[in-house]
Amino acid sequence: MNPILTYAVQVFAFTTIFQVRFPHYAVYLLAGLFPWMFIVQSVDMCTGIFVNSGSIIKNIPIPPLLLVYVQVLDNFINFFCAFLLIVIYNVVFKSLNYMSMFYIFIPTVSLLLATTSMSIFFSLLNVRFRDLKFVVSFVFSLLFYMTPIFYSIDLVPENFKKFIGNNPLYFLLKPFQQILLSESSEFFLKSIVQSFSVSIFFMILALLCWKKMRKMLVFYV
Amino acid sequence: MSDQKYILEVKNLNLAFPLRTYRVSTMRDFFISTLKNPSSLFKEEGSFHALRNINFNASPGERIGLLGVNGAGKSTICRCISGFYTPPGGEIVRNGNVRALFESSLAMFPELSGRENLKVLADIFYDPEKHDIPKIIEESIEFSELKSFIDVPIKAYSKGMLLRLSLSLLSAVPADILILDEVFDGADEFFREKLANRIRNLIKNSGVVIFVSHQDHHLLEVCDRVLLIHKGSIIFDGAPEDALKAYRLKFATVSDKEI
Repeated sequence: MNPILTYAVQVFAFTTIFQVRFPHYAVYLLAGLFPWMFIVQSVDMCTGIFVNSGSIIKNIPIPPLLLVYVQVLDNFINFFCAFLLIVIYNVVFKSLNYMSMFYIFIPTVSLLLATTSMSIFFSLLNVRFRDLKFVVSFVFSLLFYMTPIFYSIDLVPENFKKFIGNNPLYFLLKPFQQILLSESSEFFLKSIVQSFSVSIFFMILALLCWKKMRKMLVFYV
Repeated sequence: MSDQKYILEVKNLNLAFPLRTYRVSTMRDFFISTLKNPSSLFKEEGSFHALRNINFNASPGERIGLLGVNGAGKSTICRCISGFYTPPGGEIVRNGNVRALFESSLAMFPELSGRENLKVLADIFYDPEKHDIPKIIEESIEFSELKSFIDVPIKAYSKGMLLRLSLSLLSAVPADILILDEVFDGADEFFREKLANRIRNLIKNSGVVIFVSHQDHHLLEVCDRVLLIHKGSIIFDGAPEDALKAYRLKFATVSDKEI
């Protein structure tokens, strides 16, 4: 319910109170907000997971990364069910292009890979620097305003466009926004490539970090 | 090539932790320590040796006790043997499966009931292809004597009840190497006696038991050989009575500072 309520409140605030004149604003907000909430909640819940589960890692013979996978998967099921529910509502009642439904799975794979990798990276780093979770939480709260989620990239002044448009987290959200707003397939293909590039970057980062810390993890938690 | 007459062989086991990692555990500490001493970024600040040249073998049927003051390295040895720690120096040869229970592992999933905890732990510790897991769970419930408490969340259990639950499961099927780290402390004498009998039966099936305790009577009850550990090294290896005498002698004569 958490993502659906947050979404509902934001739609009400922007469309009814601020009266934003943006075609299909509710759909646009949905496309960015839900994946964003999935990323933020997963990273937030996973950053402290190794430190908080020290007794499990030290005493039960299970692969430590399983803890991260379970947490991300739990959030993913939450995200995906809520997301699909709203998308189906929009398809049925707002005449959204139903073909777009099929394409959603492509950026979802990329989003899942990137979020899992980010969660692994920050959870490992937090074992070394215990105050990292506060920094991560703070940075993500700032990034929310620096990522085109509740505003369009077209509204950003030209001199800031390059900076905001190249936010790696925006690359993960952009394909969702393009699919739901039925933008041309040429832009979509470019966005998908960017999205998977970001996933691969975070996967490499997580893999390098895991290789370095794998053997020492149990000593430090 | 390992000698198969031993179930467990520990050869030249060494383990050291870099001190800087423990002293600097937050970004703030890191920032301050780097500002105070920028050269610390590039040089090691030394290390703490948790284990030094640990060597011992265990034959089938042996019940080995580990004795020593707090911080001597007993649990670290157990964690190395059970595979949780991968020490950079030395070698551990395990000619069989290892099952380990540590004191801190008793309350793993506090929101789950005793029965649910048993199911989770049984899935982790036992191979469903080799063992009849539902039968092990039922037998463990019966052995633990927890009766109606078995369906209560374990956050409501006392330490003794948690001990009964975990030990009943872990000792249900013979293990080649069974590690019990300070798990008896807290059990009542009746259950301890019942458990000691069960462990004796396990040992008959060619298992080795590594047993850690600070209680003399527990060591005398369970073990037939005791290793005295001091500052990460084995300083005595022999009969439990002799090891306890050596322990008293050693620590009655050294100052607190030395310990």
